[in-house]
Amino acid sequence: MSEIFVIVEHRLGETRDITFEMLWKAGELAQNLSHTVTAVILGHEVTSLVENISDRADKIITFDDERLKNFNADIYKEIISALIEESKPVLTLIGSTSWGMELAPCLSVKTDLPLATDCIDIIPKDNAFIAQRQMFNGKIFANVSFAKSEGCLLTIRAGVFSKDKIGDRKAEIIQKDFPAAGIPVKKSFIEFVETAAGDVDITQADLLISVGRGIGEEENISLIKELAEALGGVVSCSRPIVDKNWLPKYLQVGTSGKSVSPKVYIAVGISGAFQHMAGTSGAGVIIAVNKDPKAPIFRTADYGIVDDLFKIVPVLKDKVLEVKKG
Amino acid sequence: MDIVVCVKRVPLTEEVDLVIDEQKKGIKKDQLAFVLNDWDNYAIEEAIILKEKYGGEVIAVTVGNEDDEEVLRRSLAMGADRAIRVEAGDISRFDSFGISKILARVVKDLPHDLVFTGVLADDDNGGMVGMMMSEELKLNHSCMVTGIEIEDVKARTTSELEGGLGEASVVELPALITIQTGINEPRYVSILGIRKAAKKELKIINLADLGLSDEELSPKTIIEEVYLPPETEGAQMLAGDPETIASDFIEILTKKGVME
Amino acid sequence: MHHKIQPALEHYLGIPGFAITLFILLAGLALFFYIIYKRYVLLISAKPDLRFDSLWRRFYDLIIYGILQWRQPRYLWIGILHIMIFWGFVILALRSITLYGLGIKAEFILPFMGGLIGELYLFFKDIFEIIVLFACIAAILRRAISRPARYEFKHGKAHKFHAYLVLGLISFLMITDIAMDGSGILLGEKNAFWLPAANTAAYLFNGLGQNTLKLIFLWNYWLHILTLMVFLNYLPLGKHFHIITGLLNVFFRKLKKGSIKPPRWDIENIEDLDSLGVEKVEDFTWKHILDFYTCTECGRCSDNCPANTVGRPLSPMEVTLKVRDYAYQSNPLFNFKEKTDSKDQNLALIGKVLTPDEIWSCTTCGACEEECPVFIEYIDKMVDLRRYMVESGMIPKDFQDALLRFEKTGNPFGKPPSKRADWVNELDDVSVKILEEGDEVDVLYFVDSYASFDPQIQQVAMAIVKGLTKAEVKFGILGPRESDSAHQVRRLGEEGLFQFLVEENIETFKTCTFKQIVTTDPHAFNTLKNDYPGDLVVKHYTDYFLPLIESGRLKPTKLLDNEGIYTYHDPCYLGRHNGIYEAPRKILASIPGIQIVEMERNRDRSFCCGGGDINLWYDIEEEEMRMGEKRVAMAHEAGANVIVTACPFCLLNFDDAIKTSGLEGQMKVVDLMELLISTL
Repeated sequence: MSEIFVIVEHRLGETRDITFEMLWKAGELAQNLSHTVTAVILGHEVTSLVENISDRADKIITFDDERLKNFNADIYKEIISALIEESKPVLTLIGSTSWGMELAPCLSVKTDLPLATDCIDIIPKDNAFIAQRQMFNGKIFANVSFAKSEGCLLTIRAGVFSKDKIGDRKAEIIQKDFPAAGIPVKKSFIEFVETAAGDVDITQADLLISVGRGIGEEENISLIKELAEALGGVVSCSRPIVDKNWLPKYLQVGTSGKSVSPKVYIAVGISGAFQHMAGTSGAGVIIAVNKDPKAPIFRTADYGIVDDLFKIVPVLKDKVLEVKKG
Repeated sequence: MDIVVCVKRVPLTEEVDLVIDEQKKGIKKDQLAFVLNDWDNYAIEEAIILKEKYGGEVIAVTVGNEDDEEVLRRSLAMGADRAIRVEAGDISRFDSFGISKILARVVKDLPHDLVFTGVLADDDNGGMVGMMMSEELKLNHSCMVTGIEIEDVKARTTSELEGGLGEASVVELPALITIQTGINEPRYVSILGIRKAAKKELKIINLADLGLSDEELSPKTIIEEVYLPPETEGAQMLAGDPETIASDFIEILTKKGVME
Repeated sequence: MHHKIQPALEHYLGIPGFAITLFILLAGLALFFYIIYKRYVLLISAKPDLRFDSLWRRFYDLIIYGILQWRQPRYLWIGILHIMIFWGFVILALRSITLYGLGIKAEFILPFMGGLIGELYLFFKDIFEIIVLFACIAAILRRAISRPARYEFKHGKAHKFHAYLVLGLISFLMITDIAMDGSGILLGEKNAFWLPAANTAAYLFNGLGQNTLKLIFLWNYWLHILTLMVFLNYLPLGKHFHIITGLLNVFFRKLKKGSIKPPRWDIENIEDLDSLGVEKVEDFTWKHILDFYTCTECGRCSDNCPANTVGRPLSPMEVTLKVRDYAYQSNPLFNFKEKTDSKDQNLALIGKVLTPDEIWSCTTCGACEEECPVFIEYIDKMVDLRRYMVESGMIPKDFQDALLRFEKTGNPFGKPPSKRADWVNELDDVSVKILEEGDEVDVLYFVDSYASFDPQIQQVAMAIVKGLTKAEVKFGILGPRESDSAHQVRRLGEEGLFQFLVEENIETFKTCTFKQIVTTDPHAFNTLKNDYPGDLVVKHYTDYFLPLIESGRLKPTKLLDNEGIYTYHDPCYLGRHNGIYEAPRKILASIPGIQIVEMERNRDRSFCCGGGDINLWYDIEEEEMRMGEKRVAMAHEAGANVIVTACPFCLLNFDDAIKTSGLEGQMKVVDLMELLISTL
């Protein structure tokens, strides 16, 4: 019986969803393989963070120190590598997030343990694990195994696993001290910044809600904007909308606009013309809303809703708001 | 301001339907066109911008065979001063661990105030080489950077976090920075420009000369199998009453990780 | 007419008349030649141009377009006015020389101007003086009262003062000469009742004393020759330089329509060039500099420019004038310092004088070049400016991506070449031969990228292939081995990439044998015919299919529905650039029962659809409406409900425009070949 480490990711006092997802998967693996789940929290004033996950882990190791107020990959690396050295967990899970992408590779080199990134599944095999991940921007799936070692590191893609609690646990809380010798800090955190609202770069968006000619009149675009706001996504559009000057050019998707690669592309009232869809080939999943069942977009989209957008979009928006509130 | 940029040549796969090769460990590449990795394009551009501002030398480095020199020439055409290719035979036998050790070894001997890599590569989407190199070289680092300002011997970087949030930090030079797309607008290099860049220095180093042991370079991760994602025949229609449709809709978004 | 009064013999403050004349003449000419010399120096510091070929043709064109002013009546009434003024000038030139002669030597006459010829000349001169005077007054009134829009500038103020000044000067010259003649008659010259102008003046002066008449005569004389010299020197300073350079510009016109000039006429390998394209004024060729000198500010180019019409920042006339003024500024006439390279000026040619959007706005449709009465060229200049912009990376990101896709996959979509002929599989009853090395056919059908990959245009390719099969033509396509014709790439300014793609295609052509190439697209047709080396035999499908219809091998028999009123839109690269106007019309007319109307702007006055060039990947923000929408409105106005076109880009642009104009259901667009096939 060994430990599965889950490095807790939190920001501004909130436990991020990826943490719950990793704990779920760790819990599942722990159950099937008779391992235990150890969560590792590095932070400052971590009481609420501990509470959030106290029923999802067998052990929670905490480091509570002012020097851990903001994420720093160097500090995390030093502390976690020492923990790994001490406990030799069979798996260490880190979120495949900006912070995780900075930490995990450094940790891998320091501990000399193998690393697989952006994993979408973990499959136990023999006495080891296979990591399932994607390549070529999602066009290829790959199963990766690890050279013999005393454990391995995986970064986990957000949104793949469930956020639910699995099993029934009550965590043993172990408080540890920040290393006495201190850790040299070579990168100083200054502040969080918000990206400018005006100049939106749709090519960087993870979620696009795109509007086409089906919207009819300019004022109806507010319907789409509301849905986007509820979802926390970005509004984009097809060419005719720009031609009419209803939306600015930098929101246009297509051959004469931009090529986008969001995780989800929601196309509302877009027929699916070749020149437009060419800009969406990088999209993960395309959901199309169109009242015409024969619209070409349904050939390229992954999911389709055949309905009058004026009827269904408000319903979608309300449901989203409902779910987010709860 | 001496900057080393690590670049990679990757297949252009946007419009293409990929085919798995016979061994099932990779894709068939004979019908594919190859380009400079998108992230690396931004990295080179950022390096050139800094060079134009602060002077110094920009060196482009890649690990690969003769065909891969194309991306070095493009980097030279954009403004890099010289380029290095590490001839390492069949590089598919290395994983990110090995590649980062090779690159780190090369960079160690080059003048570097900054080392740039792209955040990801278009092919393996690994995102590991940059940070692994920084650990090898014991360099300070900043990740997923969308903005760099040099202040004396420090760099003020803006890193991209999730949901439109960013993080501003200050890191002391020398540092390794992984560059995110959108940080700048890479300049265009014309065919003529690339032909003219052939006059700049492109040095070839043999892997054997770097003094790395086989053990150091042996892969820690092994690709067991690659396969195509499960087939979908046209759009899967969401059916039922609006409530049901809305629920299904939410489920799809959640699965894709966009219902933050 | 022999004058009793000899200006040469008069004395003023002790100075003899001939001395004054000589002074005016010599000083004036000296100044004039100095100015011309400075203008010449700028011209020869520019890049070489090859304009001394086809001399017979050039002389012929000089007569038609220069002497006979063939293009002037395209704007009818002002065209006629200008022809009158032009001929007036030609005829009055002899008179001017004679007048100077009279000022130097008494009783001076030009050889063979004595006797009947002389009298005949004086008659014509007199008539033309009236004509010119009235033409000038009409022109002044027209400018002042009806204020034609094309004289206005988009940016800044037009040089209206100069126009009025020159019209005034010309009128003044006419008046002084007539006054001279009039007073001359009353001073007892030979009776010349056949000179209406002179006699009218004489009538007006009747009753004045001899001394007064003499004064009138002399003063009008001196004023005349002084004004003439001032006028002469004024010419090279503004738009009236065209009086001197116009005929030269016509003589040196561009004969090979549709082609784009190589980056340098004197250096073949572009790798040997330090810089490509035009960065500063001296990078233009001498003919282009001559173009800048010759602009008459008539505005006909801008009036017909589709980019200008839809509100883009481009106005061809203003481009010419801005560069001209900039060139004059950088090469001042009187500068006692070292002449500086125009690049050292604070203003950058590209950036300040001309904006990038201005340069990208041009669709290379050729309407400007078709109108210009003095044959000023624009397309080559735009491409040369773009070449520089491409080399220095001043191009929008969307272009960059498109160019990269061209380079890597031979098509602008980034689709793999292996799929280029996949459309062939959609045809059930027709088989298309994909040519391998060593194959022999009569016709190589050059499909090009849009017809290969865009589903809408694939229909056109299928129609062409059906037509070829029905006519039992032995043909084939290159399929995956075909690269884009690179027409757009060249006109975008990426010369290196253009040469690369051309080389690829030429090498592929060499591997098979064929008698001629037939293209889907007028752009491919244009570039294969005019840009590619080697004198390929190329036809656009309209040109190819017409003889087949005329000879009966293809018979349109099925009647069309009576609801359709068809109008044919001339694509720029089929019509203006290559002169193919009638073949498509004949094909259309061969369809039984078809109702055809013509748009007001047809043939060489056709209005660009928006383009198969830059428009595809970059939108100029300042545009008020799309060119396609404007053209669709024109078709609608003409009473048509179907637009027929023979170009894939026109098809796509109009299809879009019909939807965005809200005319869906009322209008539609169809390709000529598809239409034809439906009737066979």
